[in-house]
This record gives sequence, structure tokens and C-alpha cells, in this order.
Amino acid sequence: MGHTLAEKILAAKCGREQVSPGEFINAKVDLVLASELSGVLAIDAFEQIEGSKVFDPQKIVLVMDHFTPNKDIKSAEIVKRCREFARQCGIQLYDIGRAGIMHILLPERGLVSPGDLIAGADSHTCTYGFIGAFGTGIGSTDAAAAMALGELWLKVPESIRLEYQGELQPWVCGKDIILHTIGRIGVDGARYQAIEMSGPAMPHLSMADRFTMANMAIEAGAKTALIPADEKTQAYVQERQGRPGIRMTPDPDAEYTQSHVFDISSMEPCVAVPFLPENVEPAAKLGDVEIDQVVIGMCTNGNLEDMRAAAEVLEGHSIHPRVRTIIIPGSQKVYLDSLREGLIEIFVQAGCAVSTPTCGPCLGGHMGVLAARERCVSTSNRNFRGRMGHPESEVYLANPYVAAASAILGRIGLPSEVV
Amino acid sequence: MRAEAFYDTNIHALLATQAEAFDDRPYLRQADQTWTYAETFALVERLSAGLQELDLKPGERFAVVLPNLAEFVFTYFAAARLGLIVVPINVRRTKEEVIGLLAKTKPKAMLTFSDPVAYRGMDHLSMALEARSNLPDLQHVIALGIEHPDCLAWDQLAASPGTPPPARCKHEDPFLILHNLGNSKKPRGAVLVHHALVRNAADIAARLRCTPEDVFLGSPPFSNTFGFTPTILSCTVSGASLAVLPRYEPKAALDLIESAAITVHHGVPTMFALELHHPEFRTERCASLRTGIMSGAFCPPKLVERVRNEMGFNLILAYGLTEASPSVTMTRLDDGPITATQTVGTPMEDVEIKVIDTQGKTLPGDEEGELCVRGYNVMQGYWEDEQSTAQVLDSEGWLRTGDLAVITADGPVRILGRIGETIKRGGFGIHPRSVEMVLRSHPKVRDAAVVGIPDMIYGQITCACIVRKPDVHMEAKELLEFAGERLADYAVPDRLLFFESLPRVGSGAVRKDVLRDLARRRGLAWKFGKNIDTDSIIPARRCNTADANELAKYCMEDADPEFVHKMQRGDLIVAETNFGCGSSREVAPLCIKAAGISAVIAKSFARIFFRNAINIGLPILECPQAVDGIEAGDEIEIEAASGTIHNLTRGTSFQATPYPEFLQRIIEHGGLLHYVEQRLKEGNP
Repeated sequence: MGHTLAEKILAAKCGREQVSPGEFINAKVDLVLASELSGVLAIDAFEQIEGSKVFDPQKIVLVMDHFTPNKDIKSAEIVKRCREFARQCGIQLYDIGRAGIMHILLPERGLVSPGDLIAGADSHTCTYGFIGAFGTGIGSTDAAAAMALGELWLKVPESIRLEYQGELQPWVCGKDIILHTIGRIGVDGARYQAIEMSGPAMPHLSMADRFTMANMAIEAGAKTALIPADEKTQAYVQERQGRPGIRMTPDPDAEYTQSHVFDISSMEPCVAVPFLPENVEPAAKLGDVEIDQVVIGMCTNGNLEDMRAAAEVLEGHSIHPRVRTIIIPGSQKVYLDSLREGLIEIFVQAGCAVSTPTCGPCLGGHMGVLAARERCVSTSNRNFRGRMGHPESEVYLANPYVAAASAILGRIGLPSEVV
Repeated sequence: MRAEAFYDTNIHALLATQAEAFDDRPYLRQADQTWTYAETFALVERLSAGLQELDLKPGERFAVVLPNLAEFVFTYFAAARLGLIVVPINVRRTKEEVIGLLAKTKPKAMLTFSDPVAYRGMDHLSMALEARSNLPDLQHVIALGIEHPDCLAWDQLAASPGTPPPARCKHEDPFLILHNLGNSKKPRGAVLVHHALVRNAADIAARLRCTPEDVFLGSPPFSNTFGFTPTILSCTVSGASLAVLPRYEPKAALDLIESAAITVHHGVPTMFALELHHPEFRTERCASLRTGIMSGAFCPPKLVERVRNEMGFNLILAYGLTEASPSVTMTRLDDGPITATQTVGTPMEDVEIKVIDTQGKTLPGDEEGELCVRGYNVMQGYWEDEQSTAQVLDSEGWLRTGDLAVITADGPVRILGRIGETIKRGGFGIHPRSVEMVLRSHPKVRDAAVVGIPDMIYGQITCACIVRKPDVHMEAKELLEFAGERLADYAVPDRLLFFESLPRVGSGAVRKDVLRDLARRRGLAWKFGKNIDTDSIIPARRCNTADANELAKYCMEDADPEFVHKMQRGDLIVAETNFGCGSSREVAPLCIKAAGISAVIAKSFARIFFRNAINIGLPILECPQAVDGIEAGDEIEIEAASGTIHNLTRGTSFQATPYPEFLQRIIEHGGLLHYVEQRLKEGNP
């Protein structure tokens, strides 16, 4: 019997010929990752382990991205503690001005490679599936254990196969593909399972589209999402001087618990309406939904391609007078590239605020927190109640084209209405 | 009677002396049968001769599993004559417990009976025969009142025509191995010697001013020190008679008090309470009562007063423990009202007591500490258990009782509770008994016990376990308000649970270990819908701290802002599918645990929440049927280890998906961090 990509990576990581779904394994991790929020708890837990020392400082990364630049004294104290711990243990810590949002930053720095097992104390660690790495979200105590042992306990997941066919229509991108997918399988449709994304459409999708798709697999409850590495992946990794990694492909006779086929040609720009990412509606059918804020960027759509998409719509326009628009490039490099390409100028001219990379507003931390009954269109990944601020505020998830168009229109709208 | 006359003797010699002195005076009475002192002595001689045939040697053990019967008394004396060490085992112990005690003490012979109808289907004789196959030392099973081909009949042994051997016991020989539970919950067998038991009984009888005219009620189990020393032996020392009560029932006790004109009534507090509450109780029926001891568990002053007033006799309070044969202190018949109702009196003659602090330093009068005892009455040690013995007996002969006490400046001792029972709640020490007294004083409360249960924030919280009087309605709120008016704010129970009855040991003491365990597992259900995400559990805006106490204030804030104000510590969350979806934040299960939620039951859990909960030790149970079978406000009891969920309100039970073995190991290690520690120690990272 053949094996899925998830099974193959996990077998390699526990030094076995093969593993089967349902088995519990201790797998060697290639990288342990935490933000300041999860990191501070992990450090507390790590220091409680008698006789603990980090298994390999080269394989642990701390990225200060959630409440940074420090939003308040408590956050400042948390970051300070992480910084001290990193210094003490010789761990790489990415700090303000030289960093970015972890999931954009790590691939950009060549820190993740195909075939890796990445244990991240952040649920969106599944993002690394976009280059064929098994990234999975864990808790802080898990991260402490992984820092000490270099291992992670895992149940080998069953896999779901998602096959994408066709070609994207204009103004439609990876975000719409994943929203459509979650809309079909539901927020717990892939609970505990690995999602394997493949099909004839994949070679044509950009790395940025693949990035967004893998990023939101957790919103369907998945343990990880995996897109088998191909030539595009290899070129992407080489360009960033990362380790070449191991390109693995699923066996043709691998077993999947479910298979779904999506025709991406029929997809149109869509929006996930409050309060779950599975509440997916075509943007065109929403009617007159007035908005107060737009946020573009962050981890889900914070790559240069996403900045270009937003700029393409915003160029030569002004933001609707009632609307605040915040642009958050995913890393310092994305920021600099955007600046060089003139995108930042377009944003500022249009009336947007451009922020340093941060997770800030996505989780209601800072840099764009909503008041009661305010409504926001965001390119982020979650629209739970209270996610971006007041429990009575609302978040609509969309792609960067739709978000930019809505910023101009003052309501949820389509790029075709303004371009 | 002069107590001193019995200061240096043994149990066989005691009966011989008394048989001569009291000859044809009645000694034992059972239903319509009576045995005089002389008849008893003769029967014991015959029984000794019969047992002699079994080649039992001095120092060998002889187990007895019998209810309170005259034959139990005869057997005690015959065993004493042969120099045997008796291992009495309470008839209410479970099969596993009995077998465990037999395996430990290796008796050569065992006496038991069979009455499965009266003992919830437990057939003691079959059990003994079954156990014998695994107990090579157990050569003889003796059956009382039943003929069985594989056993000897007690009646035949007691009719032996042979000649008994010369008495084989010495004053300082061990006579009893009596088991009780130590802190480890592993039974320990206190080894008690002849002269100490007789002397203790003589001093007790002197305090009670017993005479040959007295009639003792044989109600405390003969298998423990309360039933042996102050009951069987004190009666014998006094030349008095003993009316045995084979199976304690309050009605049977009241009937016997009246019909046998009982004068001395010992009992644990529960027995007196049951008798007072019995519909057939009338003060006149107790007219013959003169005195008696209440002991074995905490004696609520209100109950003491009621016994004195409504049963109309001069009740004595005593403090004792198995390891001290048992009596350490007693009140006196002429004590003033405060001493008589609120203290356990003064030490027995030649018994020393002191109170020590946690460092072992002796404390002055009026200070609280652990009570220690030294004297003739202290046990030799625990049977073949040097480690447990060393934990309680020091080289100078002091026995640590584990009881928290004060020796008042004017002499009498007050018992405050068990050491370790003091609840340490956020820096305050709370004596459960003081809280129990307040709760019991509420007119609708029949019984109350207060236990401390672990809590993430306070270290420990107090949980009051209440038995309401029959047919009265009372909500937790009413009693908590009542307590709030009478107790310091920190001492008002954090939780209040209602029970049908409280679990107790044979002596009547509340099984606080059982109660603590029950209390930890019980709570009211709060229901939530599907896809409760971690932002609803704890919004990110509250996550700029790792302080669990702070996080707890916002538990479930965006799902129900009032939740933390409405819930009680110990309650449960019951939710639909995909509980804890979204972010990987470990503060989600952490804040739930810190808020005092004892467990989360859901149809399914999101993956990262699940592993975080396991890693930090928040019990979570996946059980769709339970979620559908529980309504908000239902009282739920869970057994996290087995995954059993009981809906106490609706009388239904459910089985949650068991944890896989791998996770069980993490749980057994006490969480992931301890598991990692173990791995590091093994040099196996």
C-alpha cells in the first residue's frame, strides 16, 4: 500500500520505513518556532524541566511579531524575557526592524525546506506546506518539550486529498481557492488530518497563492497542509539560499479518507462573513455591506505578490472617506521590495497607513483594533467574534484585490468596479 | 474495681480472674441466650482445646472475619490462651481488602461465616475458601454457623472434649494486629500487646465508674479497638455484662437499650445521630443509660448536647487511635459543660502527650500542632512494615498521631482535625472542622464535611459536602449566605455540593479522601455551541500576560461575558463539536483550568487545543452522547481516568473515548514536562 506525503515525511523523521495513520510517534524536528506570546510560556515551561538545555540552538527560532512593536508594558516585558532567554541559549531571535511575520520571514530566509518537520507554537505553522514541509501548530508546553528533546509527539494523521483543476479567473487568487475549500469542507472538515493539495492546476499557481492556501488549512482544522514540491518550489528555495531539502511525492496508491475535486476556473472572488471562515459567499452577492476599515497583508496575504495585487487596484484611487486602510507587508524584505517597486507610494497616495510587519490587528492586538459595531475587510485568516477587537465588531475575509476595491468603495465590492 | 489490679496482666488471665470473681453473674447476652462468666470460661477452655488440635503455635496469626457475635468474644479469649495473634477484619471490607490483609499477615487459621443476604451478596466463607488456594500459610478455615466439607465447624471445636494446654501467653506478647489506612492509603497493621489493652480497658472503666451492675451495649465493631478495648475488655474488667448487637441498626440499638436495660452506650457520632433521628426514638426508651463514650470521629458539640439532653445520660468524649490501644484522653463524668462537650478531656493515667510543630519542636499550651503520644499503650509498631513504623514512632517512644490538636492551658485537649487536612487557601489556613460546625448549625443541614481540593490559583479551595435533612429544600446559595454571615470571607466554601450521605469508615470518620476525590469530579454543566474558537475562550487582547490568575478573569469572555461570574469553581464546560478551534494559544486551556473549570466535555476538540489540554493537565473528554444527554445546570460527575461521565441530575451515564495509551503515559507522568524530564534522566532525548 502506498503512502501519503504526510506519512512519508513523518516516517523519515522517526527513522522508519513507513508509518500508518493513528500511530503515535516521536518525530525529530528540523525547526522549533515560537512568537513572543507563545514563546514566553514555552520559556516558563522549559525552565520548569529539571536539567533542561536546548537540544540545538541552531534549530530554534523566536520571532517577535504578535504584539510588536511592543503595544504596552506587559508586551514589552514579554519580549524582553524572550530576548534574554535567546541570548542566554544562543538562539536566533528576530526582532523589530530586522524581522517580519514569522511565516513570511522563515521561508524568505531559507530556514524551511521541502521535507522538513517544523513544530511551531503558532497555529499557522501549517503554512510551510506550501514548499512541501510538514509544518504543524503546537502549544507552548509542546514547544518547551521540543526545545529540550528536539522531538515532537504526533499522531500520524489520516490524509485528505484536495485536487485542483482549471485556471484562475482575473481577480481570483489563492485566497479564494482556500476560502472555497473551507466553505465546502467546513471549519472542522479536516480536523486532525493532513490536507494534501495537488492536481493539474498546481503547477500554474504562484508560490504566493500556494502560500495562502497552506496558511489557512488550520481553518479547516487540519494538522498540516502539504503541496508536493515541484520545479517552482525548487527555484523558490534556491533563490533564498535555503537547504535544498528532500522532494517527496505521495504514492499513486496512497490512501486518503476523503478526496475533493475543485474546478478553480469556476471560482469568483469570495468573502468569508462573520463569524467563521467557512461562511463563504461570492463577494458579488453580498449587497451593500458598509465598512469602516480594511487591512491588507499580514501572514496570509503579506507577500510581495499580495502587495502588488493591492497596488494594482489602489493605483490612482483614493480610499473612501469613511474607511481607514492599513497595509501590513509580511516582512522587512517585502516592505523594501514594495518600496523599490513604488507600491508604498501608491498606498500612501491613496490614503493608506503602511505599517511595519506585525500580526497586530489580525488578532485584535494593536495597529487597527475595532470598536463595537465596526466592520473590517481583512486579508487575514480568521473572522471569529471579537477577533479584531470589540466582540460586537465584524471581520470579513477576502483577497487583496477585493480588500483594496472595498477600501475605495466604502463597502464590500469587486475590483472590476474600480479598475 | 481497682484499675491498678489490671495493670500487669494478660487477656487470658483477665478472664480467668473474672470467672472466679463473678462466677454465675451474666457476662454475655445474645438474643435470648446468656452466658455467665463461669460458662464463658468453660466454653473458652473447650474451644482452646479444640483449636489446640490444629497445631497452632504461639505467635502464629489467627484471622477473624465475623460480625459482633458472642462467638467472636469466645474466640478472642481462646486465641489469647493459645498465645495466638488475632487479625480481626471488619466484615464490611471488600474481598480485595480482605485478601490483601490475609496475604500480609499470613494467618494459619481463619474464622468466618456466611450471610450473603445481609452483606450485599458478599459470601465471606466462599471468599475465604477461594483465597486459600493462593495463601499457602492458611491451613484451616473455620466456619461459624454453617457446615461445609472444606472447613472445620466452630461449633465442633467449641465442643472439644480434650484438655486445653497450659496458658501460653505472656503479658508483653502481641495479641492483635489491627489495620487502618495510613496517608499512603495502604493498610497498616498496628501490633498491640496484652497488658496494654487490658490496662487501657481498666483505666477507661475507672473513668466511667463501671460496676458489675453495668450492662454494655455491644455496638462498636468487635473487629476494631473501640469494640475491643472499651467494650469487651472494659466490660470484663468491671465484671459487668455485654449485650451484643450483631449488626448495627439504629432501631435494633434502641430496642436493645430498652430490652436489656443498657447502662453503658459507646458509639461513633453517626450511631448516636442515627438513633436520635430515628422515628422510634423516645427519651424514655433510653432511661437506663448511665454513661458511654462517643469517639472514633469528630464529635460535633451540638450532637453531644443532644445526646446528653435527649438520650439523657452523662456522655464521655474520648480521643484514641488504633496505634494507642486505643484510648489517649477522655473527659470525666464530673467535667464542666465546656470540657464535657467541646474537648476530648485529659490524658489517661501514665499516658504522656505533647503537641509539636512541623519541625518537631514541642509547643507550649494553647498552640496548635500535631498531637504525639507516649506510654504503655503505644503499639509495638506496624506489622512487618518498618518504614511506616519509623514514620510515626520515634526513638524516644513518641507516636505521631497525625491529628491537629491544642492542649489547653488548663489541661483538656481539643482536636482540630487531621494534619494535612488544614486547607491552605491562598495564604490562609482553614480548619475544616470550624467550617463544618457552622454549616451543621444550619437548621436544614443534617451532615457536613469540608474538604480542600487542588486549585490552580489558590493552591487549594474549600468544598463543602452537605447532606440536607430529609424533605427540606435548600439551594447552595442559602447555605453560603448563612456561612458568609458567620465565617471569615476566605473560609466561606468556594464550592458546595449536596450528597445523599457522606462516605464513612467503620469507625464513623468521614472518608475525606473519597469525598475529596468525588468533589474534584463533580460540578454543574455550562453548555456551549459548536466551533467555540480560542478567541472566544480567551481573546488575544487579554493575552499580553502569562499570569494564569489574570487570564482566568476573561475565560470564555467573548462567548459569554458573564460566564466567570456565574460559574462556580469545579463546574464543567459541555460543548458541541470542534471546541477550541483557531489559534494554538495554550492560554486557552490554561485560562479554563485557572478559572476552576474541572473538565471540558465536547463532541470533538480542535487538534491543538486537545494536545495543549493534555500537556497542561486540563481534563477533556470527547463524548457526543454525553453532550446530547446533558442540559445546562445538570450536576455531572466524571471519572477522568476511565472516561466515565455520570449525569447525576438525570441518572444517566456515558463513556467517553478513552485516551490512547501513548497519551495515558504522558498523563501518568503528570504532564508533558515530567515526561520530558524522565526522558532526559534516562539520557534518551
